[in-house]
Amino acid sequence: MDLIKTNFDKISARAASDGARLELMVSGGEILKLGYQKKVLQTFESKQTAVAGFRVILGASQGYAYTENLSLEALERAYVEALNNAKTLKSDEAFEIPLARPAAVPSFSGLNIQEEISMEDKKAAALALEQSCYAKDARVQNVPYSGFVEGKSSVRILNSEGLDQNFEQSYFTGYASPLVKENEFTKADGGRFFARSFKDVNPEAAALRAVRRSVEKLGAGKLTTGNYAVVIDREAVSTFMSMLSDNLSAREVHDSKSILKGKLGQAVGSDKLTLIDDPLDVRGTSVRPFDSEGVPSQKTVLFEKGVLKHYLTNLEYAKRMNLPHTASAARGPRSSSDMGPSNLVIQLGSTSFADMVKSHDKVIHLTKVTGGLHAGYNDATGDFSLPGEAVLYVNGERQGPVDQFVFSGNILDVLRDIEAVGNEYNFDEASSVISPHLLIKSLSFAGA
Amino acid sequence: MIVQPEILKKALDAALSTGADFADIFLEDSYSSLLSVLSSKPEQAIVGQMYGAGVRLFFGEEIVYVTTNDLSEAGLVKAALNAARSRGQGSPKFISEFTPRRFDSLHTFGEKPWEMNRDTKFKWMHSLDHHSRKHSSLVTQVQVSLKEKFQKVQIANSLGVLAYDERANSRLVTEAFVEREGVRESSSDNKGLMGTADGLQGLDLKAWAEENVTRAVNLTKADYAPAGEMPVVIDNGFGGVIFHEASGHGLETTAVAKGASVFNGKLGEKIGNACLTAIDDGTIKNEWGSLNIDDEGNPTQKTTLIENGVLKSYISDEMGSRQTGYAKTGSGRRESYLYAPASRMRNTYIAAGNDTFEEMIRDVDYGLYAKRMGGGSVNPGTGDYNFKVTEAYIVRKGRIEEAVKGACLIGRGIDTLGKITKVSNDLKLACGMCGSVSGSIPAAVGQPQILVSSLMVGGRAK
Repeated sequence: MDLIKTNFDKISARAASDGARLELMVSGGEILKLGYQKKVLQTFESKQTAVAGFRVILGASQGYAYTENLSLEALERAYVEALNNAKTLKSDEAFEIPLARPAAVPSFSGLNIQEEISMEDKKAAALALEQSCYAKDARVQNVPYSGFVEGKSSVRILNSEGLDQNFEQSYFTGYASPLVKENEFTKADGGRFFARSFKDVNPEAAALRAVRRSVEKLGAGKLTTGNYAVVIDREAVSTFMSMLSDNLSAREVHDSKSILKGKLGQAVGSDKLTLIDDPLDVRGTSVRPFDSEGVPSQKTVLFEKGVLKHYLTNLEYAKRMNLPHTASAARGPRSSSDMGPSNLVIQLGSTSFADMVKSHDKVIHLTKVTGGLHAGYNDATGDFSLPGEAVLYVNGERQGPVDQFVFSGNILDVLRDIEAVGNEYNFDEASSVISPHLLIKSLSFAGA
Repeated sequence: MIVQPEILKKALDAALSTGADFADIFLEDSYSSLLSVLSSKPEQAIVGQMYGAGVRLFFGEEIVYVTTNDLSEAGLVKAALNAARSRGQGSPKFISEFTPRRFDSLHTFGEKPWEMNRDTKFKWMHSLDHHSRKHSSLVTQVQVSLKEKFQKVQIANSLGVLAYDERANSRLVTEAFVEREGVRESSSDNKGLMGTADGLQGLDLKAWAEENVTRAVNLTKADYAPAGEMPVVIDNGFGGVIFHEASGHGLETTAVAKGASVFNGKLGEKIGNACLTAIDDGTIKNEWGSLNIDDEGNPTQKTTLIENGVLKSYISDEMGSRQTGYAKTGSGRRESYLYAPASRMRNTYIAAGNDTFEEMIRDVDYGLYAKRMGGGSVNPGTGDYNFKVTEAYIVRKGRIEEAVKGACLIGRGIDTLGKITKVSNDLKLACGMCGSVSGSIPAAVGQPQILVSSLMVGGRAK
């Protein structure tokens, strides 16, 4: 018996008699996490979660409530709370928030592989993440953080229009972060993997990347303060996309909080930049057949040759702002309706990395942003000032690693100043941002 | 009480059935509420319940952690057996009788979040919106939110600890967006307490809104901060985030036991100047990061971390204490039952010193006065940290001069401690959210004004 559907139907009937319309999101997950330190299994975590979140709509207002108890009694209580919340926000606005209607969604293969993997094999993968680091380089002193994760997640959306969408996926991830030491220098960086099938899990390769990245940074020198041309490593592009993503939300534009407000159709970025939001691209980790309102996913061109083509919309804001609907509703059962990107894909250019580092007298290859955005990004202005790690090139020759610097600028200037886009992706570590290297004309660096 | 002690005893016996050295169960029933106002209208109303338990076992240094949403006897015993069987068979152990922890709450609460009139809460938020917009015609948007949490916890362990507690956290946040001649800026501020929202009743909302808007407007007139190393005077209150990031995380046994802290093995050593004394205190009445008991059921404490520059204590939880041999400090904390606890900070601050703010400024020939700090982050393994400065001024020849924006401070924790050369006598605390291995938790930071003789300021190269 489908208890979720049965309970939803009962509550939906009650909502109809209350003059309300209803959406229910149920998300579930299973996570197994294993982590070794010095060959001792230090972490064994097994978590199961299930959350049901109601969105109750009364004309132009909507209220939310969630519960981790999926019994009918608890769901009914949550519904009443969501209804009261909608009443709290009730306005006289003559607007009807739309709900999604049933529609066929894309299907994917290979995202939910049912595999029976023995605990011994999972432990072996977790152990290999740690021990492979030691095996790769004698300068590895310690591997304080490493872990293997097996995950399954599901999301189901039902609404008063008769919609009932369900998506389940499974995955394996792992990471290792060794501490390496040479003379008085200590450095730590990481490597990770993401795989849909256990046969694609390769802890040794992730450990090798982690050690290589850490060791490469040993002996880092200081950087002279100044303005430099920069190659943003494809691994570091995701930080810049995080700065941008909230600003693409139609709601942020509507509420005058986005730095992209009023720029639709304008050349915001360099003509080298084409950026696409693609929830159907299985190379990325944010694949979804439907958005969080249950609408079938679609590919959306955000920037085409630098011109801002679309904001990300859900049903409500497409209607409010008379914009194309991009099926970009993004929320969890504990949060309110918003819009956000899925996989962000920067289209390939034609410039090799070797040509990028030769393009100016001095070029900084920014390999890592080491600080969180909350500690150096101003979302009202797009200004950032963040610490990083990099390699300095002079006349195309590698000079060595540099650190203890802060790089500063504005995200819109970064988009405008893209001089070249790299000619290859790297899928060693899957991510929701798919990008080649980017050459930026100039950023400010504060160093010695 | 969430579950009867007899049920917890059965679950703990199940947890110990394969020979674990230690077992505990953390149960949670919490109510959360988020209300907000945007564009001068009510915007969001979300409430929800978290209801679950985490069963944790120690086999030597191995930690097994299993969660469940089923708090029936059958559900808890099943989760405990799943945890126990993950490790194979050992000799079963049984727990002795519980010794219930009895304590008088250090804190006082008023009406619970679901009891207090919502109109009052929206009145506060509308008032902040109104005063913000009235203060300046440059204001383009105001967003105000009130987050409340009321958490019931029950903790039992194989050492016989049985404890129940109720906690409340309330936080009011206001953010103003302004635009002047095409230059956009924003400023946000928050006031919070470990208590119910009625504790926010006495706030001067008009003065608070005006101060916040003034800060945003001043930023529209400011040039970018300079770049490079220079002396920095950091203001009191949230300025304490520098100690939190530069040192606090590295003093948690979660990092120390892994050998992932630059403070490893330095207990009793001089790691700062004599003017530096630092404390982590969970006992302050209704303060943002305070508790009665930690998430392992141990009484919270006031812990002196550094005294006159000498490292006196780490911040330790149950496993951290077993691994390092250092005494527990009542510091096992977690965001919810979905996380195993870890050693975490509570209200962490640099104690008041003997210098004055005026003296510090007078001592600076050219430097930065960081009046207001934003968020920060750290790599405990290397001690490298960074944090955002949201309000700053240039200090020239002992005088505070023009405002600058876009600054960030970076450094290495242990180096920075040695560069704190003056500490004022004007201590203040401020609230923040701290994210780490056991989730996001309320943690207050604080300090008097301090002078750091040299810090890297990330501004714009001229």
